[in-house]
Amino acid sequence: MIWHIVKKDWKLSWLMITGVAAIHWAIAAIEFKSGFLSLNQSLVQLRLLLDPIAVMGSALLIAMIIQQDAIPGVRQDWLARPIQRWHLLLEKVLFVVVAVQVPILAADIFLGLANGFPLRQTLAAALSREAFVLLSFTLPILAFTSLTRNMPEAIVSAVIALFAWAMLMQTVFVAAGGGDFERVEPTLRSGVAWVGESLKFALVLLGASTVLGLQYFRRKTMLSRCLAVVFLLLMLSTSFLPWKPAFAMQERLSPNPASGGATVLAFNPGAGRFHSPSGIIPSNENTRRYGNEGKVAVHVPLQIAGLPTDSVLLADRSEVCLISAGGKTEYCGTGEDMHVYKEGPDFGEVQTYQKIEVPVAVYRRLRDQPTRVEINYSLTQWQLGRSYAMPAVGGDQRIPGLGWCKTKVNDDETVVELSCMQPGKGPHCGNVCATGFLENATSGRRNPEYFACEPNYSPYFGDFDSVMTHFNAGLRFRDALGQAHFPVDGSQLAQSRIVNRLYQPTDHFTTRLVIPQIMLQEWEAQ
Amino acid sequence: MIQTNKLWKRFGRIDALRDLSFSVPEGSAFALIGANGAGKTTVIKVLMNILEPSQGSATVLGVDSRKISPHELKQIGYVSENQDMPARLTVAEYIAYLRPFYAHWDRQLEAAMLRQLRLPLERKIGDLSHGMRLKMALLCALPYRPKLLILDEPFSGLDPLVRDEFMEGLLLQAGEMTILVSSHELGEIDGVATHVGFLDEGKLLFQESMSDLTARFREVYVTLESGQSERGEFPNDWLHVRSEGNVLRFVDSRFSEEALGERIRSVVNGVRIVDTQPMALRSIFTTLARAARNGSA
Repeated sequence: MIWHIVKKDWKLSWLMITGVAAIHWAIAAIEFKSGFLSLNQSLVQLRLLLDPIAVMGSALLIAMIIQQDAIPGVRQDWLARPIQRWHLLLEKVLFVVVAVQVPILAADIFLGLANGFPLRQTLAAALSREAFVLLSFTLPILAFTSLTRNMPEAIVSAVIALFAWAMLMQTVFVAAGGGDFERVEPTLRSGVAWVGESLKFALVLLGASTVLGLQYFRRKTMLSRCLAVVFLLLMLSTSFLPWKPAFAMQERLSPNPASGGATVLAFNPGAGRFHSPSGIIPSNENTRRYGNEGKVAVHVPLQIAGLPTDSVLLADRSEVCLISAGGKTEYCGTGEDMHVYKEGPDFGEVQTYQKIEVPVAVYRRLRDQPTRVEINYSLTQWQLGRSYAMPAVGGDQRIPGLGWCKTKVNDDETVVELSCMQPGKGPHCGNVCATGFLENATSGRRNPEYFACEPNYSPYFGDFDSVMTHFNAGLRFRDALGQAHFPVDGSQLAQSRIVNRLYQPTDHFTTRLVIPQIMLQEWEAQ
Repeated sequence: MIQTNKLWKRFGRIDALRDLSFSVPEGSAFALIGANGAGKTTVIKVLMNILEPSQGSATVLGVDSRKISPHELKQIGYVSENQDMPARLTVAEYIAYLRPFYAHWDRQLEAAMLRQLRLPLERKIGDLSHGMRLKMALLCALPYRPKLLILDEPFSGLDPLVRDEFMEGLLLQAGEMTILVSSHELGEIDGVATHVGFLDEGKLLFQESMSDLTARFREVYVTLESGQSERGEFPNDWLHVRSEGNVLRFVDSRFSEEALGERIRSVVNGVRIVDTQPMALRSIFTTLARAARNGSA
């Protein structure tokens, strides 16, 4: 009987299915045409227009399919027909998956293959994304629309639900921290955000199964609606997952546990105050020196020992507390994300600064007082996997971990642009950290490295926008103002290459640094 | 075939059905009569397991209404004035969709009904008139020869011509079917129903076979000698009693040819002439409804 319902649903919705699929395929075609860098503005504009239409179209299509045999109400003809409820439920779920998800899967596979990536890599990324879209979009909308009897009701309910959600989030943020996202959502935009996201997916599965079961087998719409609200609130609560349990989960998944055990962080007053390195200005120099408005930047010098050769140490989070001499905790907050890398065996201990942004009022109270500083670090140690070199100009190479990469000089002739793309996770939002530098292959001279590490330790790939992830890095070789000079300048580009080093996580661990007594004013940036 | 037992259905604070007990014998055509809002549609939705009873129970084809499965639904034809069928399918497409759900779908009967009801096969259901949609619902309810046919206000809004076509379509195929039909229009069930139940504000006032009902009701005219009057209380089963000059009129709801004269003489003196008239169904119901509202039924 399932097949008969499928045929009926196809007759009623083939036009919409084809239309929505066409939009997804058009987006894939635009993305393919755009290539590495979306320089064609009309294509960019078209994509910006089509993306929300695809999302809205898919949502309306799901609602349409479900409401062809709506559950709430007492007038539907199917209620008096000998249709097994589980047949209907199974048909709806399968039909929605085929009508909404299969065209997306086809578009993703086309995109990967058209860009020359192997079928296996493309399929793995596309299927992972399918599961992500199913859990984050299709299934919740399927369950939601089963609570409504027609399209206007679904649209009005969705608007009300979104408005209520936004109001609730706003209220929570204001109540908890006045808009301090890091405090309210500690895992947000971090490598362990996937833990909360996975919890959310588990709740989606549980909630959708409960609601669909109640609706299709019992037709308990009021109860289902109440449960849907409860599950929505539970899902909302996963956004506020505390850092510690999330990172503890990550620690258990360390590929090489205890390999970071030898790493020791210590206060290193001998390093002196933080100074801006002369000559070359790192991209984040201004923010390193000057704190955000209303805060004073304090740079605590650190020495890190025990790092393995060719490794990166990344602080996923540093929780800082400042305690006065009287034992009163004056301030707790998060320190700036910190990373160090150790290249080759010659480096001994690594020195760095931990930046702490102290609210002005707290700083004024403590600046000349002996203050105890406690920092709880959640760290990830990365180990060099492989290095790849490619020409600085006109490079076109496929690099495992980075994907298909090209290099070119920008229009201002100040930066060599490295652009890479691949299906699935990359260094941006991936579990690969990349460093790279411009090197004169003949003289061996190097420019400062770029460091790209926005970790996402999730065991799956999920991106709502596209199956392809893009990675772009700029390697400066000329300062347009003439203030900085680079060892490898424009005249050497022809003999130069970009060396990319790819690191993979080996261990996630925590450590605690206690500085019994410092004067904050002594560590303010100069 | 259908049995309800102390059935209640509440919507919030409103009792749509109150302690409703009735039974529909197999092979009968049971008419559920009542004004708009009396609860007829609610009873039928409960019987079809579209609504769940708040209290009490109902059995249909020997199965608790809450447990009606596709097995029972294959034996039930259901036609309702407010039945939503897929508006964007054509008549032919929807019939083709329904056929596989019924193992005993009779294609010849379907063709005969199509001819009789004159439905446009290629027209979308959403473009059909109200009358055509009801005929369509009937067409979708009969070709599998259900044991039980449930009709919820099937004549509502139909013009006489369409109503006759509908009735012809129905009666032609009724055969051994048990029929439950709800209506607020008495004329519609006259000649169709073998049994009748009267529903008022969610309560069943009575249920009876049509023959018994028409047999026990008479309008009685008693002409008295001048100056005479009643000498006692009137029996409870005399309804709508009123005097006009020296004529006493009432409706006898327990009419018996033999006993009537004696009963009249026991409450009035000087009886000159007693005349009895059989009552039309409409008059019986009007009398009953009025009596129910006055609390004397």
